[in-house]
Amino acid sequence: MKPIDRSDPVGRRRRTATSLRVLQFSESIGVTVLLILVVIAASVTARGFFTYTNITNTVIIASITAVTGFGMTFAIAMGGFDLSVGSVQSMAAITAAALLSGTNVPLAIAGALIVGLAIGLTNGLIISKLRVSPFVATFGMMSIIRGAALLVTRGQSVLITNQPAFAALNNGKMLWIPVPFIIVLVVFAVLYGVLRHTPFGRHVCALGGNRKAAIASGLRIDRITIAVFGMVGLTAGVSGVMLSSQLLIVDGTLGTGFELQTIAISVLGGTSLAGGSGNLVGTLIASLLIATISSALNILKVAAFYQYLYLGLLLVLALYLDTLRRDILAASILNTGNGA
Amino acid sequence: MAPILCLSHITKRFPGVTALDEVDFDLAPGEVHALMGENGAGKSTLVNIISGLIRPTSGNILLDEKEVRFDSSLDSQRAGISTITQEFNLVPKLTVAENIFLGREPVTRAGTLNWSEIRVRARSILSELGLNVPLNQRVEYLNVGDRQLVEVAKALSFDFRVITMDEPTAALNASEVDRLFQIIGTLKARGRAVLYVSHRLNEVFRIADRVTVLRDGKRVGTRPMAELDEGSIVAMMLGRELDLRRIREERLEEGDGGVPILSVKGLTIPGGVRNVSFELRRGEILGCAGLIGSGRDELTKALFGLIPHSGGSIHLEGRPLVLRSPLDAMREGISLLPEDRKTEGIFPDLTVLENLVINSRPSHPTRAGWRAFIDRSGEQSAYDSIRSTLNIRAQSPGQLIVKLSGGNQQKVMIGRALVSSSRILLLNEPTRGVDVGTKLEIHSLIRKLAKDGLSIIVSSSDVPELVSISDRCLVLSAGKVAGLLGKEEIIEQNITALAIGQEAVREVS
Amino acid sequence: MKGVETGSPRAPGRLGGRGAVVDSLLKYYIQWLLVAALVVLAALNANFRQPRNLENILLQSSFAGIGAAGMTLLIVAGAFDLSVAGILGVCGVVMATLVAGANTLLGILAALVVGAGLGIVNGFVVTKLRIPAFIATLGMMNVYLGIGFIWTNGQVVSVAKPAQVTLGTGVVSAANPVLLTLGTGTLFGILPVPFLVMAVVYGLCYLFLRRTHYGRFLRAVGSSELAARAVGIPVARVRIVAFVMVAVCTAIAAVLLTGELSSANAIMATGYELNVIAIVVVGGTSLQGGQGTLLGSFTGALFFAVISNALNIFGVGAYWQYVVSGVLLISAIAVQAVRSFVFTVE
Repeated sequence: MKPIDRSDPVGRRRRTATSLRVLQFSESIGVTVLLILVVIAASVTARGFFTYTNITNTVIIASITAVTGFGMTFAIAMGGFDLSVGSVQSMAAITAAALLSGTNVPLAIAGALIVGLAIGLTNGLIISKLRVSPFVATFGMMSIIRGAALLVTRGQSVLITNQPAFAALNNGKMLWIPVPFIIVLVVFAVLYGVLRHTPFGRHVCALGGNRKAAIASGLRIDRITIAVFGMVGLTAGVSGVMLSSQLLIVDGTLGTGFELQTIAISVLGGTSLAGGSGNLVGTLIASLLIATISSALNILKVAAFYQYLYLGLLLVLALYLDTLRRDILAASILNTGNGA
Repeated sequence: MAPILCLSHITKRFPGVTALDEVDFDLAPGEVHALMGENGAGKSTLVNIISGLIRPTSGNILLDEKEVRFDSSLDSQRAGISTITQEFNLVPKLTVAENIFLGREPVTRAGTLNWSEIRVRARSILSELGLNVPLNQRVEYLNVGDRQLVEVAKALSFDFRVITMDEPTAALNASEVDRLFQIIGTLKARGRAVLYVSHRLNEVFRIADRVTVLRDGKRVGTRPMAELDEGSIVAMMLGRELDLRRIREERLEEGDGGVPILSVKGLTIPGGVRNVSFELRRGEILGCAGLIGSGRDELTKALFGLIPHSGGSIHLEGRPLVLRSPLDAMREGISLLPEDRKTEGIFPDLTVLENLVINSRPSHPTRAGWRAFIDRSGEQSAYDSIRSTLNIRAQSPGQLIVKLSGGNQQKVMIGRALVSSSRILLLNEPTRGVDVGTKLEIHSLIRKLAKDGLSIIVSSSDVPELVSISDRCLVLSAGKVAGLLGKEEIIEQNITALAIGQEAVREVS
Repeated sequence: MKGVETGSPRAPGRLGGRGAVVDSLLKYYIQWLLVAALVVLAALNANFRQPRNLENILLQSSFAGIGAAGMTLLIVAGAFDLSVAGILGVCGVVMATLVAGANTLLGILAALVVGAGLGIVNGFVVTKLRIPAFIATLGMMNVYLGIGFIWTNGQVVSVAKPAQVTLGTGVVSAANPVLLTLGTGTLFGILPVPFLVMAVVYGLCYLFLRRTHYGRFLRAVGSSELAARAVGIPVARVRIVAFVMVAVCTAIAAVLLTGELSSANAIMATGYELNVIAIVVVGGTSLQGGQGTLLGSFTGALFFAVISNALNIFGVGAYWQYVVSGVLLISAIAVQAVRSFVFTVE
């Protein structure tokens, strides 16, 4: 049977399909190019940037954001997002710190992760069982957990003293690679495998891409939702542990603005807010990008306030690029689809 | 042969309405069984029960003469029933292969996707369908006809015995329909049963072995196709005899001596139409026919200023028109009835009255007669007059529009076009989703408006409707004008022939 | 997408005739809740009943309440604005700077103008750059916070005359008298000025939403954007107007809050967006757009003020506020979801 050819000649369709593949490719490449440019610019203008210590610190800072960024990418691919990750990070950090004074390091870490997972699962339950939108559920949860964190610490800070093993989570290195980055690579490998090569990962993208089709194909929407949000909470827990091992002093105000950062790196990295696909590589690269810019600005003694400004503007820029991407896609479908 | 699927005494009640009443229905292997009926007759409910989306209030379902219960769509799939709906259930950003196996992915022992098995199976299904697309192509890059086949491929990917198709040809061109029917023929030969839901009589006559007609939730009858003709099926659907020929003759007699009011030359809309030229005469009803993708929708939208055109010109009474937005069009007295009232027509949160008067003259800041504040009594009287003219059935003007039936909502939409005192009406699918009684009301209303001096373009996929009310009929095909039929030439064969790109029969046989 | 055809007008939903009573209970639930809360708390605690305390409740309700009026309009138009805390900060510091340096009227005007300007910026980003509102305004919040910090160099700006700047709030008498009245004055000794301003703002917003064509456009755009385009409503412009309204309301709140505090700084209103949105949602406005209740937001503002006041009186830590707000927000949406589930014919 001959394939049907519409009014367009086959060649034109092939050419449009190619340019779309270029677009796809550029989704991940774009942020990499940007990173390279920024690193070069930073090395040139900010003296002291391109030193081993500074690069290591930058990578460590990027890692803390990247871990939760991966979780957030999953959530966005599913068509949702989680505004509570900052509060969860704070709560997990506090849990770890509190447990450290009573028990050993593995238990403290486990406790923090369980807290993160539990909050994430609760988010998922609220969204799927109470039919509340992710925005409201996580916005409300952000407030609840923030309050809880402040209550638990009575507004005070919690010190982590005399815990070299725990601090090694931040300072240690394996084969000259900082431990936080190794954590990132591990989490990345696992999540990448899940997203691309398991039915669950495909189902997550299906749910974000076309909810009705997902339901019609018999996918368990509720289970997927709960699992993904649990995952986001877990990654926020991991970042809370990493943060506490870095700062060694935690309080209920940690993590403010964290949700913005993690969403920003996901979008910058090429994951579209429309849902349906997730670009984990891009998220990783974008986290390095943001950390690099912050580091350079710090070295150049730019006041911290300006960082608020630039991060907000960068996010808006990344979002606008996402809009443009969607436009190009829509226009090209017009060419490969019906019509003159 | 024993039927595969047998539904007996199926009743489905919703609060306040009985959708199905003691309906019996069966499917035998190797048959194509058509299901017909008006909107609201219960077709979708029946299909949803078969596909497991809803459960009957009473009655039972027998699979191979054993009673079964479908608690979810998954149960129905596992029983070997595959369903293809009107809206494609494809995920745009996933690949063809991933879509085909969605929810049923073959996995390795480790739990990961078994890509080699996926590739092999997908390739064999696609070649069977004659679909030549790369397996890892994202579905969002495919055209409509190919997407439909991916849907069919999805159905073929698991071992089914019954396949339900709901209006499968709505978005296909003629050669794609042929391809689909060939595939259905193959399925029949393999002993599968096909439940074919459609409004299109000619297709049903082509492909079906038996037909079941529903009306008001009851089964009117099940008969072999050989025993029936068009008129008898329509009679079963409506419950009354309808002389189709008589309706065609009731068309307006004049509409001629026509002074052109709108003159379109060489209009080109990217992604829509190319080099379209025609005239609309004063007081005439100009039909506009064409399949989906022919550019009808884009044409009317461009004439309303909703989308831009890249070439050509539009003249109103000799004056060139620049339509940058619907406001420009409305100022010139042009009104549009959008194709899909659910998504681009009604405002679900607003009342009936508000839906009616939303774009009347006092409301727009850039139009003459603008007022900042709402004139309640003025709006009330406008509402009252339109309501009686159109015979809109609503409890009160303050009622939310979503509480009205489809036909009444459509009347409100038409009323909206009238309220803004137009001279030219662009009506898209004016009787879509409307029951037969209201449909006839709307047709006679359109005729009356034309008699009163309005010039009307009716763009519709309902060919008999066009035959019934048009004075002349423009036919678009793949974005170009395929032909312009004069009064005597407007018959179904000609419209359909032109729409699919063949020559019209110049004499009426 | 919203359910569009619910069938014949006769079908009353799952509850049959009793549905009408339950529906009105659910429709006015926030009003009932407020009354119940007032009654219970007044009975339980003598301090609560004091006129001073009630006056304080009215005062405290106005700051978030005024923002909630504008936010209701924006949500009806189908968007939200998470940057209001930043807008409040910027307007507050601009006004405080001008009041301390120049004159009061100029300061107030400047705050309003700046507010309107920021509203236009937000509207532009959401409509022209076509970025989803929640994330766009989240980003813009950061930008406004940054601007606020940079302007004040991280300091607090006091509205007292420079010669009389002191630490703490002791030198109230040297503060700007106009602003003081605005922030803390009362009418008839019981109604705080901010509360009166709030009542006026709500009245104006109500007139706008229900009695003008533009207000109807707002509801139309929130109800179905496509249909709005098809009838020629300038969707982008309508949304921008809605963003400007919420920003101007926030600016008014900034003026009053600065008056009350006699000072302003960039983070003077952290968490404002949560309060405002919680008020609107708990008040009964649906986040889907197209419909909204200003009466509900007004009641919601009072309700939250009552709760916060009660927490204080009972000696419960201020941190519980966060928890309570979050729980109320989620519960309110869950209630709305239940209500629409129950009243839709399948």
